[in-house]
Amino acid sequence: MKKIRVLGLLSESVRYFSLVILIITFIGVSKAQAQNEYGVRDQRLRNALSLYEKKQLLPAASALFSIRTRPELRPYRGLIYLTLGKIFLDLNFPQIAAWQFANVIMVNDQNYNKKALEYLSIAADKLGDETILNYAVSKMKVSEFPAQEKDMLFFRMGEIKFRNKDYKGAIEAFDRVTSDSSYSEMAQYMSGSSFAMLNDTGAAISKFEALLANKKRAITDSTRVSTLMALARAHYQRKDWRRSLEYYRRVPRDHTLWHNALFESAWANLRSARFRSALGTFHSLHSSYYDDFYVPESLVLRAIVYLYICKYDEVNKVVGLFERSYGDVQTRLTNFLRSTNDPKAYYDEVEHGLLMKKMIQSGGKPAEGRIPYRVIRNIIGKPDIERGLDYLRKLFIERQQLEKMSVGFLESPLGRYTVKLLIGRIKTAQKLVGIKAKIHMIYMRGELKDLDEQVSYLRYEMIGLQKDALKKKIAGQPVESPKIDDDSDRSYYVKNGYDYWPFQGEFWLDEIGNYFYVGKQSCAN
Amino acid sequence: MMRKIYGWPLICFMSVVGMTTSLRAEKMAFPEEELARESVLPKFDVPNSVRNRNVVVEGRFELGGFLGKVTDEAVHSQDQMGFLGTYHINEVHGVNLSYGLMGTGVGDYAKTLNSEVNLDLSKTFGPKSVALVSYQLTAFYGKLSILKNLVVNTHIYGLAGVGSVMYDGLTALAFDFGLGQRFYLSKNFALRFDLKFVRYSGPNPIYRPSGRSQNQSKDDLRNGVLKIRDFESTTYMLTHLTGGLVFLF
Repeated sequence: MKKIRVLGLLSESVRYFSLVILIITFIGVSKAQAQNEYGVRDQRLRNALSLYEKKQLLPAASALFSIRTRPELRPYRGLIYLTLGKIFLDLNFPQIAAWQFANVIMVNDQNYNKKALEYLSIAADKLGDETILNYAVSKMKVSEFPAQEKDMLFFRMGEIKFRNKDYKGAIEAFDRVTSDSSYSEMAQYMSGSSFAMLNDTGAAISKFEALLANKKRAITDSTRVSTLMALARAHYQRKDWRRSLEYYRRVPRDHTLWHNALFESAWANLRSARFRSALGTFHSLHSSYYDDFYVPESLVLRAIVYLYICKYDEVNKVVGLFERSYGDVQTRLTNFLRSTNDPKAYYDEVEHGLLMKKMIQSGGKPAEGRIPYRVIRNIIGKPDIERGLDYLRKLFIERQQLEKMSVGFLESPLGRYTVKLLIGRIKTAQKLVGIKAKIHMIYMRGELKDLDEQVSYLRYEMIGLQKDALKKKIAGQPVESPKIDDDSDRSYYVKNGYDYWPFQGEFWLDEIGNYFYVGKQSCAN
Repeated sequence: MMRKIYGWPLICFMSVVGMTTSLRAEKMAFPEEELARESVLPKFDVPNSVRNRNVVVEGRFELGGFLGKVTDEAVHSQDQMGFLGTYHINEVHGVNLSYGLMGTGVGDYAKTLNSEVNLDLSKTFGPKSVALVSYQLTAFYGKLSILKNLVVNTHIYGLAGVGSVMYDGLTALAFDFGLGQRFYLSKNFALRFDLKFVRYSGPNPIYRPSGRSQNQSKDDLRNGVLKIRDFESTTYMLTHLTGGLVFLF
């Protein structure tokens, strides 16, 4: 009897327990139905999120912006900023969006941090803003990143590692970029460059050659030309001057990198003792077409070649040309660096340089800024400055887009905030470009100082060798050794079928890069 | 606008002479792989065809003399001599003045007519001089390699203008157009060749007044008692081919 009673109590307890569970479940379901998918109970936030879901982006953004600092919504700040960011990303305002994603990370909302980082890296990639990108990528875990964006992540990780001189890590990252990705070619190129930095030129060359053979590209395709340059440099690095020159010669003339190829091939010619070919290259490089180019090293190199072949008068001329061309540059650069600290002033010079370039291209003759044009022109072409200017261009486009929005939006708190944010970013980006330009100027000043010393040394060498030659002459010894082609005049070099134009002081565009020095060396044995 | 000229009929004979030199030339020492493979031009901010020109004409005057022929003048002398002057506003635009004195007497064709059909045209009226003011548009600046040792700079230009053709007792309004070329012997001296077409209305030398027989007309011509108004007017389009030496300063 007792046993039966115990069993009855037990079954009654189970019944009660089941009932309690049912009630709890019911309450739970009811509560869940009262919230939305984000688990938000606040009506204003729910309305804003509902507007976003209905793709009413601007009203949703305004609503979210107005409640973002409410103390009672503190737990939802991550969600608010993330949604705001997504809205601005959809509206094609990547900079404003990036700022919202950064806010999510700043409020440290664990629920949305990963998502914010993912979006932040996408926005930063659109903008090409290294700072944000590096920040986002450095915080990301590959496993948490969506599959479709992983290639971008690997590529950016590789870039960061490359910049931090972790070349092995960079190769690993670049090699993980899949071959069908839009980042594949850049990754392959960077991987090859990383091998070259590790002095593994064999691996670098195979990477570059694979990239070159990848598919048929246009002659002036930038990837193709950059790869040719990379191959030439890799062969130069392994002291294979002949192959290096082969690749330099494959760089098409109608590509902007051709000028670099021309100058670098002068080095390869010099190293392979092809003095005539080197001097031909210098003749092009020192033509008036290159008046605006900053290539002081080429003048010193030319003087060295002349010294090699004992053309002392020519050494003197080239040294004089170096002093005339770059003496003033050095002085002005030093004065500017001494008198100016404000990064904005450096940015202004960059901007003035861009304007000058545009005016020169359209046939104008603009006044120079405080920095010689050839210096600023060189700085404008530096990759980091180019990236900075590209970022600025995107910010200006974003600002223009913003200015086209309705007056109502622009006068709203959100509108004022976005305009202020963009102006602030533009100012910061300008300062960053200014700082980078200053660093380049400091480097150029150092380079010029160094080259100046080398020129002094060249003068000293030249005087010593001239003295020796004079002593030999006095002693009745031959100053110049007889040459095989001593009896040949200019016609010796003329072969039917080739153009031959004796140089008479003019530089023709179609002749640039085709000059050959037909002089002889003047050294005694 | 500016081009290098690789060939010109006037120096064909020089090329023939040059070929003999070329054929004799020994094998060139330059490595094949170092020679240009592409015909494209390098990119520059300002892609001028030429820099550091040997001959700059902007703001300069050009003075010179010339000799020439009016190649399709049928009756009177084809010979012409004169002087010219040009002011070059810039490298492209300029103003040219030329004054040419025509030769006296009749040409070979008229002499033949006189001897074969007894038609004396020596008493007809021919042009005495031609004065023209022309706008000069320099389209090309280039250079020529002569025998691969000498470089001659050259300009090719077009001309168009107005002027007058002077007769005894008549000045006719003339229009001209044509082209020319200068070959520079130095920065200051050049050989100048012009080919101009001059159009104007002048007296027709074929004297056929109404009411007079062919023999009477011949007698009139022989006696030389005619006045220019006795001749009918006709339109001429004559080719003036001139060559001369000019000095630029």
